[in-house]
Amino acid sequence: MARRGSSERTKDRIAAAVIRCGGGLVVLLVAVMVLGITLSALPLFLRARLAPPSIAATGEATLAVGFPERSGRPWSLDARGVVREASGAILARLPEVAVPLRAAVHEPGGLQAALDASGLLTVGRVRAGRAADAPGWQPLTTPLALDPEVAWLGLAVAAGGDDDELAVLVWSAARTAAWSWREGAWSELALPPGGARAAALAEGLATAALVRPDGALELVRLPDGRPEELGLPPVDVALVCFLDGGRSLLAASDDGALALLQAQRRVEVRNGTSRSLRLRGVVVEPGARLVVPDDGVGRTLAHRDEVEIAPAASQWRVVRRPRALGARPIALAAADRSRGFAVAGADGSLAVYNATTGSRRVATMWPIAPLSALAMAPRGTAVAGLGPSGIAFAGLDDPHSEVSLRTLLLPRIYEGYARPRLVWQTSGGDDSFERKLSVTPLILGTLKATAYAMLVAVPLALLAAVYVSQLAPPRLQAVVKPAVELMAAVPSVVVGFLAALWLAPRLEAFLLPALMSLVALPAVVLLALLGWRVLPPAFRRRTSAGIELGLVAAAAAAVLAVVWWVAGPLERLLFGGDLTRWLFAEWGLRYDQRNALVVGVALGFAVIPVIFTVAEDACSSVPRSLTHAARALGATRWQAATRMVLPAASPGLFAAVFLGFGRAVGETMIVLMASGNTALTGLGPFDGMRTMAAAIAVEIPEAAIGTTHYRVLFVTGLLLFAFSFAITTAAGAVGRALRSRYARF
Amino acid sequence: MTQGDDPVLETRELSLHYGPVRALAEVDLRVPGRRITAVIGPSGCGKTTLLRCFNRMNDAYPKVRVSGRVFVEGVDVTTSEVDLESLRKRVGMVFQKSNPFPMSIRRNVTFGPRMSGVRDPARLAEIAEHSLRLADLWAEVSHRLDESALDLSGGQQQRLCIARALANEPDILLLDEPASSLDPISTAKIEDTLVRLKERYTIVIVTHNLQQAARVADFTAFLMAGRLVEFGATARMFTNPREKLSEDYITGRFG
Repeated sequence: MARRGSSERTKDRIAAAVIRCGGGLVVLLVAVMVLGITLSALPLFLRARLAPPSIAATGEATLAVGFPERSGRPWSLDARGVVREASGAILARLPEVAVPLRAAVHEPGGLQAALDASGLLTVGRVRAGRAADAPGWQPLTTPLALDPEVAWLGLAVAAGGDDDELAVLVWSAARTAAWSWREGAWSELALPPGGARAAALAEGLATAALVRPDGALELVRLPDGRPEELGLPPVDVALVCFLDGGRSLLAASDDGALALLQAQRRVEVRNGTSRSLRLRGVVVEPGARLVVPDDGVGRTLAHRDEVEIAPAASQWRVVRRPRALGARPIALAAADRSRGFAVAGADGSLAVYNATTGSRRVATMWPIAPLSALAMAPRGTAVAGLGPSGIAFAGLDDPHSEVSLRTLLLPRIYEGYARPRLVWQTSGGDDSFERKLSVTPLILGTLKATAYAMLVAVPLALLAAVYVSQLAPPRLQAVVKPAVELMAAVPSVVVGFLAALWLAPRLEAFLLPALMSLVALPAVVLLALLGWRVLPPAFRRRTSAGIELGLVAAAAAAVLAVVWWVAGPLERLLFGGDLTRWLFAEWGLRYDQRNALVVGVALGFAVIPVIFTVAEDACSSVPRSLTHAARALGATRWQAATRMVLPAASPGLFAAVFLGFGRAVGETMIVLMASGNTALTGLGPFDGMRTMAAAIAVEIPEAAIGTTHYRVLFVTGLLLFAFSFAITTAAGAVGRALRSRYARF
Repeated sequence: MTQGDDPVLETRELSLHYGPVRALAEVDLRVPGRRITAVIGPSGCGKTTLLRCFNRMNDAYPKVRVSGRVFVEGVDVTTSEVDLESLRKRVGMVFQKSNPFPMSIRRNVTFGPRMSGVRDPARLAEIAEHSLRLADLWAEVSHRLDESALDLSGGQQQRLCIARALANEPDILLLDEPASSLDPISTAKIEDTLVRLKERYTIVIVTHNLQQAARVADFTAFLMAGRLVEFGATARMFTNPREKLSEDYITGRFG
């Protein structure tokens, strides 16, 4: 007996140990998973690190500094026309120039321009790989002869859209001039008269920025030389520099203040309709003209024949004011592709910023001063400053400078946008594309998909659960429960497939009858309920349970038939035969084929069995004796179900709804296929959306490991986890609170 | 019928089958008004089934077949024309196992009136107090009406169920072994309550406990294997039963 007791105890102990290990392992696994995701996301929020600068001495008077495409080591161009590496090795020699050079510049894209003593301007590129066997200098144009009498202060060069199109801009205190190189010839571009103390030329050759000797900023559209509009310009500008392929402009004022300007495309709208138009909160009366930010307005109106739309001058305005430099700025440089820029101050300070966030990433004192030129590596991985004694350069480790909590969550003015917007757009057509990594549209998309799914699923599933557990005759119960559980067995990819390829086109084709049914069906059920009460009691009593369901189904079928019969003529009569086109024409509502309605139905289909099963169990677990007690007190079946069973089962019902919510939030395949995956923020039923889960599934394969995009997707995953966690916790808390009030049988 | 007036509850040739199993066989019973009638008999003899015929609670069970007639206050309640809800409001029932709803005491007591559409809080409060006083529970719970009914003791819960049935202002109260799971003190309280209530209500109590029947009942019906063996005044039944079976049961030879 004693031995048996001890062996039982041993078994108990082993079982307890195994169970404890299992539980601990689960907790550990979850913790490791969260830690892993967090570690992948964390580098986004690390500070930038600037390596200790190295100094390379340069002998002759050095004029320009720049970085080759894939190197953190700068090169320099001296007054004798020699291009050197930081080590001092000669890379190339500018041929046919009269030394000493007066000025030289190294621009993004590897372009170099040099102005020699005789007034000849040369444009070319250094080809690093060829230094040993061929002249490293590759001229891109024939030399351009400038007026040698003018004391040119500086020059700028930029490439156009095509590779064989270039322009140069030169300025002196008294005049400015610009030439474009096209099809093998130079031609002068029109510029307004007057001198400049600084100037810049935008990549793409759409705009030139001129800083007049008094510090006034002027923007000129190329090639016609017409001024662009400038709203509230910065004053006392010392230096300017175009960023991001010419779509934004950095202006540094004498006092160290910085301003980022962006162009906003505008259109002129003439309202030819007999009604007033409402555009972005502005009312345009019939016959009136108005210049408005384009920002999609043109596209929205393009379908209306009576409205005329003409392009208007862009407006430049300050969108961000990065933290000011402590001293007078003396040099600016932009990274070609990382949206970073650097500013050097007269006191030897150097700061690196990011243009998307406007945040200062690095602020330091530079070992050599004063700087005459500044350069940033194309991907923002290094910065170099040219001083009187040589070049100081340092590696910069700041791969995720464009991301901050603010850019992730709050609206921002991105280039080309008229107002702050929440945008998720991870890739674009060219290198200078500004990535828009706001996860808010994904959060909204997730919530929207979930909300629509819950709107479909919660009433259906809960009512079905109450009906099946409390009211339905046993025969019906035996059919419905397994049928609903079978719904859960349908793979979500099949649901998504059917929703996207079968349901979505049909919903688009039969939108009006579908919407009418959406109103008519609940209405007919309610009417049937009311009608049931009016029926003579004797008739009600004689019908057996379950008949009422048949009656309601018959009424619903009849109403559906009427709706579909009426919808066609009605659509022709009221909406010109096509509701979706009418919505677009009259309300500017675009109907996406894959939209919230489709997602609501498809995701709802997936969520219904989850909610139904748990809710049905909760209702059934209310003891029959209580139902009998309620019936014995004279409650009808409906009263017993709604007034006694529902409150008693409420903890379970809440758990069911939360469980369904969790399922909908995390569901990937259905939304991936049925939502259209457009990261829109509109909450309307006809808009598509992109959910967090779908974004991760779609984009993880195309995001290179370790990139900003990749890490932002991990942030999304972390958010998704937090969502689920919050929902589970909330469900638990609500369930406990309700259980302490109600269900203790 | 010693009283000579019309019975409040009456069955005529009442038979009831659960599927193939016969639970009641041609029961003819006349229950007098404003008295306590006890139904006794061994387990499975059909006591509870008989009780449930008076408020048609047998309808809630599947495969029940009823033949014969049941009259409640002179009206046949076996027909399909009967309004079950109003019948059950007139014929209250207390179950063997106390079954308060998982709600507050107040909401438990007022459940019936609320189901009949009484909304006025003052009226509901009045009903609650009146019913709880009748069930001799008011003094114990008046200060905590909004606490959960499930926190009450077993005896209190059963009295709450009595109060809940009384709140419908029924004429008849059916009790199915109301004290079977209670301690002697709680049982005594419920018995006192019943004795007080018989001035206003016709009470039928199913009980296993012969002493209880002897203590509280004016009349006793003895049921065995679905048949009514004997019915009469309790005093006579317990002292001088007419049937041999009754005598054997009462004297404890079986059961």
